[in-house]
Amino acid sequence: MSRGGLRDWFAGNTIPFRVGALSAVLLCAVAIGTAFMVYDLSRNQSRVEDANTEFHRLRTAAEAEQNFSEMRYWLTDLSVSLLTLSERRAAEAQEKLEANLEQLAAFAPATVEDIRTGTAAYVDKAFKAADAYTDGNRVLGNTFLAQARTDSDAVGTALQDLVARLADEADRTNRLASEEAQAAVTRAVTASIVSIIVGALLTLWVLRRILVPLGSVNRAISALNRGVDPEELPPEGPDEFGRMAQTVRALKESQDKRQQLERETREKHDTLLTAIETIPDGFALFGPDEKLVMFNRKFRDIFAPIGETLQVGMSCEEFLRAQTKTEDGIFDGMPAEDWIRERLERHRQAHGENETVMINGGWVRLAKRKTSDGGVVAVYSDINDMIEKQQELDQARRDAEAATSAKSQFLASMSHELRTPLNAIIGYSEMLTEEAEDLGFDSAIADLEKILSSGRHLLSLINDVLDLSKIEAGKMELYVESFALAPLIDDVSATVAPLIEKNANRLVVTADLGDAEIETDKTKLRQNLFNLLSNAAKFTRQGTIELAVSRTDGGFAFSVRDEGIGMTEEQKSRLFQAFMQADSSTTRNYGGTGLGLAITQEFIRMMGGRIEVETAPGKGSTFSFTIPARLQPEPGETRSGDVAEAEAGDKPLVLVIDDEARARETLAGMLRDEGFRPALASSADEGLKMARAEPPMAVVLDVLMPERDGWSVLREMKADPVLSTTPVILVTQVTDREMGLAFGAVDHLTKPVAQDQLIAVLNDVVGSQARDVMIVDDDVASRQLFRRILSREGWRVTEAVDGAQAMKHLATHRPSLMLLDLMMPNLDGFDVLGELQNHEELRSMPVIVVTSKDLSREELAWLKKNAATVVRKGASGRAELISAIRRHIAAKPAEES
Amino acid sequence: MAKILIVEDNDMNLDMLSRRLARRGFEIVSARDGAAGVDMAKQEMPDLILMDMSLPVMDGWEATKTLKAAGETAAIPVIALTAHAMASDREKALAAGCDDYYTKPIELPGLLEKIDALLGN
Repeated sequence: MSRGGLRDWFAGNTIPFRVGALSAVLLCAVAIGTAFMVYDLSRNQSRVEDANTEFHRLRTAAEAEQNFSEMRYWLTDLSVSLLTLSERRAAEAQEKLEANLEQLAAFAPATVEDIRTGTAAYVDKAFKAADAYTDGNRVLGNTFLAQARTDSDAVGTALQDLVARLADEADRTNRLASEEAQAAVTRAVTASIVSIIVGALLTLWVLRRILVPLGSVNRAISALNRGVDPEELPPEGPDEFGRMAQTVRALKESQDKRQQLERETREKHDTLLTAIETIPDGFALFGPDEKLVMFNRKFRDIFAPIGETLQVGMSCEEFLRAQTKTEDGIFDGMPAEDWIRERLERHRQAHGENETVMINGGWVRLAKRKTSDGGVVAVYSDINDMIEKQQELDQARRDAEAATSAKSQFLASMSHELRTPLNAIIGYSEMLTEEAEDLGFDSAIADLEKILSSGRHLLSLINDVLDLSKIEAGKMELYVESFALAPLIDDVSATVAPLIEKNANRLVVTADLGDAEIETDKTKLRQNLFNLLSNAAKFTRQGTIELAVSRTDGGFAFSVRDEGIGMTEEQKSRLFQAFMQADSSTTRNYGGTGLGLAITQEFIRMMGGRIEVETAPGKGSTFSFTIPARLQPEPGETRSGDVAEAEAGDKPLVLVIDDEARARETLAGMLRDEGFRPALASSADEGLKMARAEPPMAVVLDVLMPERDGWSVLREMKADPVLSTTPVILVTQVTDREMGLAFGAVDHLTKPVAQDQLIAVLNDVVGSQARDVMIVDDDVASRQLFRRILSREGWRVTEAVDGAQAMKHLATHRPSLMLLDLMMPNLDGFDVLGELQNHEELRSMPVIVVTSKDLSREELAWLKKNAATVVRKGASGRAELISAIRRHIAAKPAEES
Repeated sequence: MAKILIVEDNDMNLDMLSRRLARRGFEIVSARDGAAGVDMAKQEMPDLILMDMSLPVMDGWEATKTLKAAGETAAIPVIALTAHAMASDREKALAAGCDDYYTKPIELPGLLEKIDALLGN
């Protein structure tokens, strides 16, 4: 470990460091104390040994004194008794004394030497005294004895001094030892106390340094555990507590985050619940186990009689069974058990289709759809108001239709009534003119011609008014035929010649057509050219009027140029409006109804062209238009000659509402790729307008849009009788799936949208609505054949044995396609088609007429106007039938009403 | 001169048309409803029939169909006289077997052209 690492280790691991340091300090204190006491002990021991030595010495000195006394006794005795025994005893005592002195010599040599010398002198004198006594010399003896006594006293005194000195020393030493022992005890006690106090303080300090942060970490953790915000967090650092603090803080942060997430989730959930509660529809969510997961108040209201029993966790079957308990035992015309089975089956196959059901006396539109986890969302919309509104609308429409029809009828009969006398006026004027010419009544001719021209003018006015009213009623028909163009131009030129000449104009026709043919409505083309030329003639005086016709790519271009009064921009803008001429004075000056150009414009539009005008005041005007050489009949338009091959239906229309141009284009591309026809709207209002103008098969709706968001579009669509059943697919950046489903969307896609997802959803939507066919045929074999063909293609087949039964079925169930036989008992195919036309909601249903009847041209024409396709039964017809059905399968889901 | 059968229920129209055509040298026979028209055609075997479409008893379409279905009268050209701008009437007329049509009100020169064309003049 490097130095830095070591430092770091210490910085990061203070607990072992602190505890180690504490132990080290305490161990040191114990060691030092012990050493100190051992030292004191050893010093005490040496003192005790000293004392012992000194006591020993004292005893030796005392012995020496005793031995000296004994020796003196025996020497004295010897002097008296002169016995050898005394002498011997004295010698023994001297020996003992000598041994004692030998021991004492080591530490008091001078004194011992003195004693020895004194003793030796004493003994010598004592023996000299004894010898003197023995010799009987008493005087001498006494002298010697006196000398010996002096010596012995000196020695005795020396010995006594020595003993006293030694006793003193021993005493002092002993006292010293006991004092020192006392001091050592005091020191030891003090040192122990100090050690204990310091150790305790140190331990306390270290423990405090460990336990205080540990305690705060502990408190923080237990606070977090209780879910309370800890009052304070320990400071962070590199050591254990710092790290613990970090962990605790991280824990707290994650807990905060979790709490916030929980709060947000709860809020979101509450918002969703509130939203679901506030939607006007009944909402119920069943889990994958068919148990009721949640529902709103409206749902409970709708099922009011069993409202109390509704609870989360009840199964769909229990829910259905509860419903059967409250009613009379017959549901949708079947026994309760069958009904429950049927409803359960439907629940399991929930597909997003709408179903109108009667619940507790009220009409409810029920949409069930599977969620991604296999559950089912059910939305129950109260549609009583809507049905009422629908009925009112139907009534209003019937009234309006009746009014329109009355108006058309009126106009038709009126024009007939007006024209019949007019015919007579014109005819008889012509005749009279001829006869006047024959008879030479020249004066009458001019007047007769005035009658004639006025009659013709009146006729043209009536015709214009009739044309216009037909155009307005959408009843103007095209009669397409093939004819050579050059003769028509000649014819028009000839017809208009009198008008041209009237204002001294000149007509120049530029047309190099050879025998070019055109296939269009001859009468209307003629009328257009005549209108434009007569206008030109009317507004030009002494000028040139030019009619130019040329071929263009796939059509013919016509232009009529005049050198007349021309028009201002403002006049031009009102030009094609009915009853408008350039200004009101024009009518006075030039005559005319002002209907001609409006009619012309409409006719040209019908013939697949467009009229344009270039003009300036005083500079004349040029009207030009181009129409295709071969007019494609509009769907439902009659064309002579063709048999059985109706145009394939339009591709299904999908409306995309999104404020982002790129998103719109991307979605449009995906839709086109998959055979759908996209319509694009950039705002909620535009989208709704487009949806109402042409109800789409489905709507792809962006939720997040400025101004009005997708929710409001969804709400408005659901409240609109026509659009309420149009499936809406939400496209969002946020996941509001449940909310979307609750508001009635059929599905939900998250941006960016994947093509396969979009198409899967759309096919699902289209499939659920389109693949439903009714076979109406009295022949069992035919019905079986069709059923086989269609079932294989995945269609749901219903059958009817005649027209009457078909109409009965249609009252409750609208299929997306009908196969219709013509020759049937009760109500035949023609009658059925006629009936369908009388029902607004059935008019758009495609019908394939399958017949073995030999059809007249008239019947065929009528059928083609009223049915999608006519297919003949028989060997070749079967292939035709399959291909006709395929066309519908592939291209045309029913336009939902 | 060619013989023309006019089937027309309106007196004035009939009078006018027959007089004007007679002035141009045609021999005119007339009938006032479809059924009478069919009888008259079989009886007179005219060179051409001008047939109004809205007729009492039997309408023009029906009468034309009957005539075209009967062997002896099938070859007689029939010009339908139809109301103004009713494409469906015209189509119905042609579908019923009429050889041509002319829109009312009648302007004689145009009708004469059609008559001449059908008579092969």
